[in-house]
Amino acid sequence: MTRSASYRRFSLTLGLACCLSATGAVAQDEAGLEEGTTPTVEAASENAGPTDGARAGETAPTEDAAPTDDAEPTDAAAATADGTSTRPALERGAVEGQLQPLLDKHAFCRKKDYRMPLGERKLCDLSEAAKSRCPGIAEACRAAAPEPPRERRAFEGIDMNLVSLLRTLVWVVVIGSIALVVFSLLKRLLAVKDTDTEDESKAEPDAATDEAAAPASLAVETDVDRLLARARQAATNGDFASAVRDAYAALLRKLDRDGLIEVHRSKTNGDYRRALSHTPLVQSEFASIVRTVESIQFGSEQPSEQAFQSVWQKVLTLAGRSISSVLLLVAAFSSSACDEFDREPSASALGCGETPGGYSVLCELVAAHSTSVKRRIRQIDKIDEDIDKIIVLEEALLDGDEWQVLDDWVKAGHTLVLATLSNPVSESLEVSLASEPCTTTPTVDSTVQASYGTPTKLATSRRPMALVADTSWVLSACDAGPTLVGKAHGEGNVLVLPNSEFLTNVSLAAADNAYFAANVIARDSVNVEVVGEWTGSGSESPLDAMNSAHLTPWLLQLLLVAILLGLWKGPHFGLPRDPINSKRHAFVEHIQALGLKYARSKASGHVLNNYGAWALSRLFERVLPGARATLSELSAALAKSTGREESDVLKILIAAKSAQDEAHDTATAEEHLKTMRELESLLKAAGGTR
Amino acid sequence: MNAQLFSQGFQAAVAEVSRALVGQRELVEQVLIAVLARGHVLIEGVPGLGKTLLVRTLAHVLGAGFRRIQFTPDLMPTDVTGGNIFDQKRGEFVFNAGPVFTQLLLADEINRAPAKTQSSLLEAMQDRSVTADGETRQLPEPFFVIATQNPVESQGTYPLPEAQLDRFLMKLNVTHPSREVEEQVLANYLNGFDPSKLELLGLRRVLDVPALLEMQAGLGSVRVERGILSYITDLVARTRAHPSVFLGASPRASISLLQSARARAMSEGRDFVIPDDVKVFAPAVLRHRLILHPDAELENITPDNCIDSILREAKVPQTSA
Repeated sequence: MTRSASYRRFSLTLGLACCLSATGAVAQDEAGLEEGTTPTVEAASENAGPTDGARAGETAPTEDAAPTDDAEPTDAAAATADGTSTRPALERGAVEGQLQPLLDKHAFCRKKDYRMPLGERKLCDLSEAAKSRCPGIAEACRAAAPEPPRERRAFEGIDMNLVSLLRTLVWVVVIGSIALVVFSLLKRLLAVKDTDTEDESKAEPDAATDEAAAPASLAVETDVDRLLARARQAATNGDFASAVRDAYAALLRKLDRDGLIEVHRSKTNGDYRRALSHTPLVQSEFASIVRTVESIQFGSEQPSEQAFQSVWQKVLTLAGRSISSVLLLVAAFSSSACDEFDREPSASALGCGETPGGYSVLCELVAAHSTSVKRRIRQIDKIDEDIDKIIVLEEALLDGDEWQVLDDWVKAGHTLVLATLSNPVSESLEVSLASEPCTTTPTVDSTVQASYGTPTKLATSRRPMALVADTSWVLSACDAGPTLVGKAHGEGNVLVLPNSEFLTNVSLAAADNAYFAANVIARDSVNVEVVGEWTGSGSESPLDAMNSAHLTPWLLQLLLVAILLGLWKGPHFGLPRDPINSKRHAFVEHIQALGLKYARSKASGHVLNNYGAWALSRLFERVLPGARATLSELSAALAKSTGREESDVLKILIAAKSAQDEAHDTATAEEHLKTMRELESLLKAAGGTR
Repeated sequence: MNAQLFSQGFQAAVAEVSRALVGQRELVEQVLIAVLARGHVLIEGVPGLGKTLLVRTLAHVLGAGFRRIQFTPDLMPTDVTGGNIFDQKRGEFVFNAGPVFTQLLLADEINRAPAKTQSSLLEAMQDRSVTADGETRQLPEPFFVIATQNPVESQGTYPLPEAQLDRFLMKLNVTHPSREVEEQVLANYLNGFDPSKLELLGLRRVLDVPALLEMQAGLGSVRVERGILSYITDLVARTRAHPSVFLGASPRASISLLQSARARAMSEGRDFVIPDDVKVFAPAVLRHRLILHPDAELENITPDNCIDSILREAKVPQTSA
């Protein structure tokens, strides 16, 4: 590729119709334009001569360039010889209209008590030039700097460790959710199998009728789509009873999957209807379907096509409503999740830095003239195909491999804006820092400025840095050398600045810097990535994120605890149920329960009957063994041995004897209990209660 | 009578009774369904929950004859059924009909009388007749017993014999009303509501005895699928096999469950029974027919717990999913 051709392509790529003015003749020659053809950029630019201050040798790529002073930016300048169109210079009013609202959002512009960060105080040189758009900056520069200085000057966004942590958490949540869903599906699958097995094992002989066998076979199918398909097929075959049943089954399964009901073989349609009480709309439609289904299944209504269509339409409507509810939830979740984590963070004002030394204004300007702007968080190992421009800021810390990737990418035909030197790309372009800084304010190249139609003045801090660049296209320059140059690099182009100062927020607020930057950097881009100090701080994988957040030991311990817990508790083999409280009862509790039963049954007399008979027998055996004694003889013997009154003992014995005639026993429960205790005391005195 | 008319009459009666008995609509519906199913109801609850008011209001709204027996420990069987008394003027025994000869009998606090007196209602409840001195006399139609009882844990009560309990179609538990309902009750009292003067409330008589009999007869036309019958027998059979139950429900329970389900179906305007009709009334129909093992009682397992577990296990017929 010849040098002139490269320059032309460079100009087209950057949208710099102005630059083409210097190379119009060459371009026309190469394009092979015939006389009488429509004027092209080059043709129109032929009349654009160099300004007085322009150094023709540096500005024009060839000696053939013949720019003129009376060049006017016209629409015709937007057309190239080969038919490729490029846009004319941006309207100053439009850029100003975008710029002021952007600046108004920044604290350093509107807050009087804004404290200028210490590391950015060198930008205070621009405060006078910027104060018309940014009134607060002068006050901020006068105020004392905050202590301590910020470690990260330009990047005011989220702490990258926090980003890593958040990403990790999101991954954990996502993986956990997926695992939960898979587990739930497996569980349901197993539950269905269990149910089927149970159904089969519990099938009774009288249930083995066709009527009962049909639902048993249907219980296997739980897939909504297959059930609906089966319903349609049954309806096509004229089996409307099955069609209605399958359509209704599909609805139940759908509601079950949406978490609105829990399908179980022991639940009635009424149970499901009541479970839907928190969604009245669904409940009323469900009840309507149930009425039809039940009148077919249990009533006298014959299954007909009309009935099926009625159920079918309602089922589809209700299932759709259910689906839409779920989709809404999913969409809400997805959008929030994706916005926050899945995509690269957008070039929001916060992300690019809102301090005077940040780049939020630049990012917003680029965003206003491109399809999308993203901060490059990931390491530069591979660049997406849709990216057509990358801006590398001074703070970017890239290694050799990353520069190599950028170099290859530019050579493949893309555009790189370098606000940093001492890197392989700028070295290969032979662009370096000038030994002396500027002593004059940089000015926009005359041919470039000619295309703008209005004077464009730049403002910089005191003694800005200049470049040394051979055979390059100067876009702005000072007395010490160019301050913004463009160079072709392979099939692509590179714009080089000595540092990022020109691109900072406060710089773009000054003079016509923003207008110039918008024309030469921002416009005619599609997808732009901004490479800064944040680049490479993101993690490649959740594991990297965990490592960088120092969470690996914690998570490993948690995992270990979970595994131990799982091993300890073990998996359950059926539906979890509350354990039955089957504590072992003491013997006395069984006796108490038995006594309670007797008491509730008003059977104390019966108890006394049994106990009394046993006690009397024991007493006779122990006190008067071998003798056929009477109660009075027994009482006399007991009175003698215990020292109690014989009449009292006799009363006890008679009460025990009388209880054997339950039909005529009129004593109360309390009296029965008293008699039993008296008998017990007599037994104790006679040798024990056993 | 078709299901729609049945449902309209039912709903009108429930609404009217609910005017007097605030916040107990479900109880009112259940009692009315039992009445329409030709069943007797046992209502259990602590005193002061409006059990007596419910029955009195129901009698008024249904236009049925109403008598009340306050059961006490010294109540004799003849105080319930009546008996032959020697008429000295005529020189012969004359039957003096007891309060049981009515259409709606309120047996208030039935468990305060001993079993002997409680059992005097057995024949009346089962055969709707009373036998005295070898002569059987039919009770008027319709005849319902609505008995109330305090929880058996209360002092001075006698548990009903199993045979007596089995005669009741349902046993309904009345619990304390919610705070809002209780506030509404108080507001009604402030507005002059007097439970002893129901006529002041302007309650309408929405049904009469012929209509009631027609509604009862209408239950015969309710369609019951074989699957429903299997479901009922399955539930009842499971009560007999339940590990906590010593004595399960009888075949009479199955019939009661079936009749209750039919009445509920008609009350909702259906001429066919669905499984939900059975399931909803299973606790009320079965709870008083189960006798638990002592161990289960010690573990605080109640009949309702057993029925719940049975309902969770039994497969509902025609489950499409």
